[in-house]
Formats: sequence, C-alpha cells, structure tokens
Amino acid sequence: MQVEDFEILEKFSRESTRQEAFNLLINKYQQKIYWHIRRLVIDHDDTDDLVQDVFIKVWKNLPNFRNDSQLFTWIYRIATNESITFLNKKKKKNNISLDDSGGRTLAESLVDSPYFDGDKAQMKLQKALLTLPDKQRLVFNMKYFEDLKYEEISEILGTSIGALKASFHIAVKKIEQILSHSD
Amino acid sequence: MKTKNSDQDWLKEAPTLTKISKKNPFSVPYAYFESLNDDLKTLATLESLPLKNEEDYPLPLHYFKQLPDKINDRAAIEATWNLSPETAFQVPDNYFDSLKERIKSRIEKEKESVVIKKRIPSWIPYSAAASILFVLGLSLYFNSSGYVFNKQLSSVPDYEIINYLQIHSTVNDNQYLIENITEDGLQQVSIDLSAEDIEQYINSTSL
Repeated sequence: MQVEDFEILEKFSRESTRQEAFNLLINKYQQKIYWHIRRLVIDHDDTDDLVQDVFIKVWKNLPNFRNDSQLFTWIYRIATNESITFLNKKKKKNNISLDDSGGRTLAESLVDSPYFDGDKAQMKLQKALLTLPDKQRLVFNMKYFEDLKYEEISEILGTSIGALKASFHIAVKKIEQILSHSD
Repeated sequence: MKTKNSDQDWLKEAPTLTKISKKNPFSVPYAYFESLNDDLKTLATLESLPLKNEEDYPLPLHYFKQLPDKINDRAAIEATWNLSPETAFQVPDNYFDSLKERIKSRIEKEKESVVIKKRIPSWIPYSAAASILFVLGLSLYFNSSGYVFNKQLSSVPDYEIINYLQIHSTVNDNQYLIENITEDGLQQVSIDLSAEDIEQYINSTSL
C-alpha cells in the first residue's frame, strides 16, 4: 500500500522520523521522477545525475515546503526545472564547442543507447519527438506517456490549461505529420 | 465528461501515432532502482552531516588575507600557460614549410664565412685594430687640445688680446698673420675698420 503524501510530510516535520519520511518519499517517487526526466534527457547517465540532484534539492527544501501545492507537483516541478536547465546547458555547450567535446546530441544518445528496448516504430516516434521544442516535448510526454491531467500539468508547469491543450495538439499534429510522411 | 472527450479528440487526428505502442521503450541497467534507492539515502545522509566548527581546522596566519593574491597569481600563471602562440600571432603563408630549408641555407652560409675567416692570418685583425686605435687616439688628442685652447681664448676679452699683442708682438708676427689670415677674417676686419683707421695705424706704427 502506497503511503500518502500528508503522512510523509508529517513524518518529515519531526526530527526523529525525518529520515524515515525521506525514505518513503524516495520509494514513492523515484521511478516516476526517473522516467519523467529520462524521457526528456534520453541518456540514462544524465538522468541518473539529475534524479540525484532533484532528490537532494527535495531533501534540502522540504522543510520550507508549503502545503499550498501538492507534494507530487512540487517534486515534479523541481525535476522539470532541473531537466530544462540541463537541456539548455547541453545545447549551449554543443553550440559553442568547435570540436566533438561538447557532447552528444539527444538524437545521438537515443540511437547509441544500450538501454532502449523499443521497436522501429517506437524509435521513429522518439526521433520525431526530438524535433519538437523542449517545452512542447515536455507537455507531450506528460500528457501522452505519463497520463497526467491538464490540471496537474498546469500546476507543475505554471501554464494555463488552454495553452497546454494548444501546445499538446500542435505537438500531436507535428508528430503525426512526421510519422505519416516517413517511409 | 465533455472535457474528457475533448481531451481525446487528438486521437482522431493522429492515426499513425495511435498505432505505435505506448509501452515504455526505455530501460535501465540491472537493479538500477534498488541501488538508486540506497544512493539517494546515502546522499541525503551526507547532506545532513553537520559541518564542523571552523575552529577545528586551524589555518596558517593571515591565510585569507593572502588568499586573493595567491589566487590572482595562480590565475595569471595559468593564463600564461593557456596562451596559444598559434592563435595570438600569425606567420606568413607557408612560413613553416620553408623554414627548415632557410635554416639549412643559413647554416651553410655561416660555415662558408668561417672558412674565409680561417684563411686570414690571425695577427692581421689585431694589427689593423691597433692601427685604427692609434690614428683615432692621435686625432682625438689634437682635436681636443685645439678645442680647449679655442674655448679658453674665447673667454679672454678682446681689449686684453689687443693689449697683449701691442706689448708682445714682434716683426715675425706680422709675417705669420699675413700667411695665415683667411679671406673671411680679412672681410671681418674690413667691416670693423675704416680705410682712414688702417692708414693711420700704418703711419703711426713703428714696425
């Protein structure tokens, strides 16, 4: 049985059960956060680093967490911000690098990844997704793969539901166009 | 209900997309999440370790006062290391291609000049140098003594010279003056003296 967020927060507020609360929080969210980040940054090692950064931020900032938002949206927001910051830095690094030291692109990471078990169609879909702007890809992932509600996505990203719907539909159209025109 | 339906409207617009399996195509290394769990707990424990008091780590005297200078020095040194001559300076096209050949030909020339030098007897350069020094020394001696004499003479007032010549001059001096006075000197004298003065001087002088 999964522990409720309020129980985690309650335990965390007491010094004696703080570590226990954090363990519960990790158990509950580590996979969700991992996959949320992995779909965005593609590479497993980059994801692993980011997941650790996210949970350390959660550990440090949880004492300041206010109950005006849900715990899961707060953690998702941290994970999303970390991922977008990482992607921006990666792009900058790739742009200014005159040689190959800037690192691989996301598409290269996808093709070279030893941890991609999908079929040809799934690979094609992932490649098509990488043609989208990062924020549009983020909305698509959250809606299509993670099955989050627009209300939840809106709370996590701080964007209006209308804008999210528009963004998702544009992303779907682009992806459909790419998929139907390939082959 | 209406919202839910509208949420699914995109399905009609994306038949190709909907045919693709939504199953997660990504995987993770074996037992990754088990170790991640432990890693995160360890990290959190490390983060919660209390920092020891600064007093527990004594520092050398004036450490922080000297630290900025040390850092600046280190940065300056590292900046020097990072200076790339290739980017800072440029060389003419194909400079390095011809450099080796030019150095070789220079070495050949140097060798030739050494051979020529060896053919000249070794005492000649020394005697030539001694001769030049001797000539230079003589001219320097005479020039410098004339210069000193002229300088001393210019500081003596004209009337004293005239008095001196009137008292000490002899017949031989006139002959010396006639022989050595220049055209410019004559003109200068003729400017200062009128013909009457000269005539009077000749008539009055006993020489």
